[in-house]
Amino acid sequence: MSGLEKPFYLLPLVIPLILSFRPKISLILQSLTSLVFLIVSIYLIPSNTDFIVSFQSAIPFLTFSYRVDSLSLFFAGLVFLLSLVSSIYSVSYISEFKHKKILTFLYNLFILSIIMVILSANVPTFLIWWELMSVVSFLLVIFDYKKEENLNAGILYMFMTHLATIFIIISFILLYIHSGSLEFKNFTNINLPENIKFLVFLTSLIGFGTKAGIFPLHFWLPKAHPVAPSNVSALMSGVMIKTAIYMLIRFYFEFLKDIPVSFGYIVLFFGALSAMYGILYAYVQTDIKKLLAYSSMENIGIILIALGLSMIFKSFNIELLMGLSFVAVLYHTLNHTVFKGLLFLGAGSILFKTHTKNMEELGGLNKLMPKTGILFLIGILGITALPPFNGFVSEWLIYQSLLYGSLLNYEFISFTMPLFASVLALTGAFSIGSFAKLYGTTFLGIGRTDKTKKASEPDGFMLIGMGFLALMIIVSGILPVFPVYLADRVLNQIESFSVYKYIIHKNGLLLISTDYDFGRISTLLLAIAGIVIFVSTYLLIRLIGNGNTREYETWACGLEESNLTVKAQYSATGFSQPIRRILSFIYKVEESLSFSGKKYFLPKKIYRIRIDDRIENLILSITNVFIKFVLKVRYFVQPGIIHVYIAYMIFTLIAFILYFVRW
Amino acid sequence: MEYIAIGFLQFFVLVAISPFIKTFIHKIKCILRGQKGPPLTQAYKDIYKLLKKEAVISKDSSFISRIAPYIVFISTTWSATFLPVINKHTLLNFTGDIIALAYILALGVFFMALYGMDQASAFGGLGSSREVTIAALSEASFMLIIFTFALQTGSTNIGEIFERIHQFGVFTYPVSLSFALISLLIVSLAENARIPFDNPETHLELTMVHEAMILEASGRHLALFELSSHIKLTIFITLASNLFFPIGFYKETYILSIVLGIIFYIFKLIIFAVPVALIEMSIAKFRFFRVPEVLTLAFILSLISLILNNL
Repeated sequence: MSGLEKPFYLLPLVIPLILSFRPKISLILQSLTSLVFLIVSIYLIPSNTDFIVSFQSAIPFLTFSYRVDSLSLFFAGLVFLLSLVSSIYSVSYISEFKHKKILTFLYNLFILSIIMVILSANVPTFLIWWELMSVVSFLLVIFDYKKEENLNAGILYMFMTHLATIFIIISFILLYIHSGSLEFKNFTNINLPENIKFLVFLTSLIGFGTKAGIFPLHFWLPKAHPVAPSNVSALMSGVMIKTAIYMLIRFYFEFLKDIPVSFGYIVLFFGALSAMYGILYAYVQTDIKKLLAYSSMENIGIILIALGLSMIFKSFNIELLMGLSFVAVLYHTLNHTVFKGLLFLGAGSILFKTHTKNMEELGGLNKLMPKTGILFLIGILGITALPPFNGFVSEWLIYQSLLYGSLLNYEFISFTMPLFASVLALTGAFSIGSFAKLYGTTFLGIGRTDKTKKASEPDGFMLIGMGFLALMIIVSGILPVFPVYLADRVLNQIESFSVYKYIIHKNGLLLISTDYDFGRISTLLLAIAGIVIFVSTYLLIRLIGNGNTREYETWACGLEESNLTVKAQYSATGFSQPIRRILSFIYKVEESLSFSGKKYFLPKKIYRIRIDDRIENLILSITNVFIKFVLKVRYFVQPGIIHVYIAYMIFTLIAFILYFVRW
Repeated sequence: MEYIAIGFLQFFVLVAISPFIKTFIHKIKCILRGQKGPPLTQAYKDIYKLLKKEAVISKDSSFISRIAPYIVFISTTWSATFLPVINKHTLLNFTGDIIALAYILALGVFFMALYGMDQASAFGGLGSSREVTIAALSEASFMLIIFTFALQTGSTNIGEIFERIHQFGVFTYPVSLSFALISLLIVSLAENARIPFDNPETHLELTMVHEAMILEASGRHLALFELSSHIKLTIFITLASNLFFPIGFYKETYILSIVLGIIFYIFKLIIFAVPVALIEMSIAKFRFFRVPEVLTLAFILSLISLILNNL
């Protein structure tokens, strides 16, 4: 790789940042550089690139070094992909904001810091960029700082992300003690004792898991992600939380050697818990972006399920299966970036046009913004893992891995694997429910408030951005060959083993898991069969049946259309009511119905509902106890009574006098 | 070449017989109630009649109302293309994955739910909400049943599961699979909106789920919805009868075996359709919030079956 070792090629990343005082030019430039870098990284992944660039700084201990290998290129590629799209989108989107220049600056800095986190190759570099990424994203979360909600979310986010950093630093310290170096490459060839290994595993899982939003540490995520500007939300959910997944892969596949089975199982278990918990809470949300944020938690859970499986197979030394689930990890990561990006951008368009993200105030947007409606629908088809779209392929790979897991000759694992599969099926079904609710209440029916009347199709930049991602969903769904190939090259570099020839079969059209002889699938041919069936059904109906269509009003039990108020439609709260009631032990729901005005004849009823995250409540109450204790201790020391302070002064004085007199 | 012909034949047999099965169940119910009941060709006539009528769609609806009937129909016929009916050589055998089957059917549920919410009608939303609830709760048990068979036969390809089960024969069958059968029965009743989960015969807002969603459908759209619900029911009965009653031909391709296979198949369908009718006769529709209890039972049964089978 001659020439690539020189640092100049990273320079274009900084240019959009410098040009931030001209927002539009800077954003267009950002998308262009992203496109170039995306192509370069796709080109470099298969070529087995692996080199380290170092810059010695003036401070002796501080060397900035960056590693470009297939794994970092894959994740950096995801950032470039989403940055390409969301920058095009932002060209129009930022006109909503007053401080365009600051937003553009922070946005560009955010993208730069994510890329640098991924490329970092030693501890100081990593921590500096990681911290910068956290701070910049904090500033973006509180960008609309006049809202109380945003500030609270921002503070919680800041607190949690630093808690995460503490654990990350601890795990790095442990690795440093045993390797005597801060370079990542020296971590790879140390043999940790078992207890330290577990400690490193645990601290890294907690640290990066907090950033990714895994089960008990997730509660900042659904608060912080929705309140940021939508293009930033897309980046946060689409790629920022993936940096945690990236580091987990680095830790468990490179730094820690010979991991025991229990590590993989713990990751798998928490992945399953996050997936289930995330989607159950997504189901009851009425805020579009909050629903999407909880769904991110679900998808991180699914990725962790695959990662855990891969680790389990790794500790059993079954290379083929490890490769299969590893490919599933990367595939689902790619998929989640694509469809979550699309959905957040779509939510941004809705917010941009109607100034609300509350489903209860929306409705009927399909008639006013049909193109957005179709693009959003494609995103939903991807995220709900319906065939033949991309989410389906990666989830199918995970199902296959779970099946293989139950064939392992290890009773506990083989017995619980089908349970995880049913958890995955449950999350799939619930995500269908959540997104049917989301789409049904925002895009279908008729508008619930006047806010929807102003809606219109967003302009070209926004549509192009979303359209590109929608295209990606379809392409990576029906042509799984390409993502699998890239993921396989990454695997090949890390584990020097390739599963490509086992997975892809027959001219690259079929996706097969052979050797152990399980299933096979071809989304392309399914799609073709679907089109054939559609065309033949359509023609047959035209031939035999009656092709006429008449428009008429909706049946309303004999009432006139004018009697049918918009309130007759099902609301988002009503839609999720059955599950809320059936699974009432999971949600913390506070409902109240109050009457105002007349009591008996047509009183005005006000229904309030508040759904809190149980884990958040639990953790907050624990922290409350702790803080109360600290405050109590403080009360004794600093009671606010002047006599005590005078006593402090006198004691100090006496102490000093005694000290000096003795001298 | 003959495999493709057999594949087409199986597909058409399944699609063609599905309205008959629906009417057959209805007829048994009528006879048991002491009514005369419709002729066995009634469902065909209904679909033909609906196809001849013009479609009326709501003014408030969007493009979803126009495409949803087709997509629901595609999702069920997709599954029909790779479901082995009388022979392992199905049309899309190479991609016929049983996990994909669950997700393909979910595609239909998803678009049905969207269709329900498209016309701004209170009934549609009600139906959609209940449908996704039932689907969400039954999905986990369905996946466990699938896993039971996938692990037993070592494949997730339906054609191969079908083949191996027939190779093992009915007498080497583990008894534990009877739990899976009961579980599959409950799940199919839930997925196909039958009593005790939903009453396909009423249009009473308190009880309906499936009918509420398609209340606004008419003409060819209704015909497609009806036909896909018939096909879906037949798919589940076919799945149950082929998995739990593995008798007969499964890979022979000469004409006589196929003709006999079809006759066997119709017999099996009728045998497996009778319990559905009997269940519908003997119990009333459950209150909606009792549905999870039954589905939990299905989950536990499939879990027991899986554990017993795996040990």
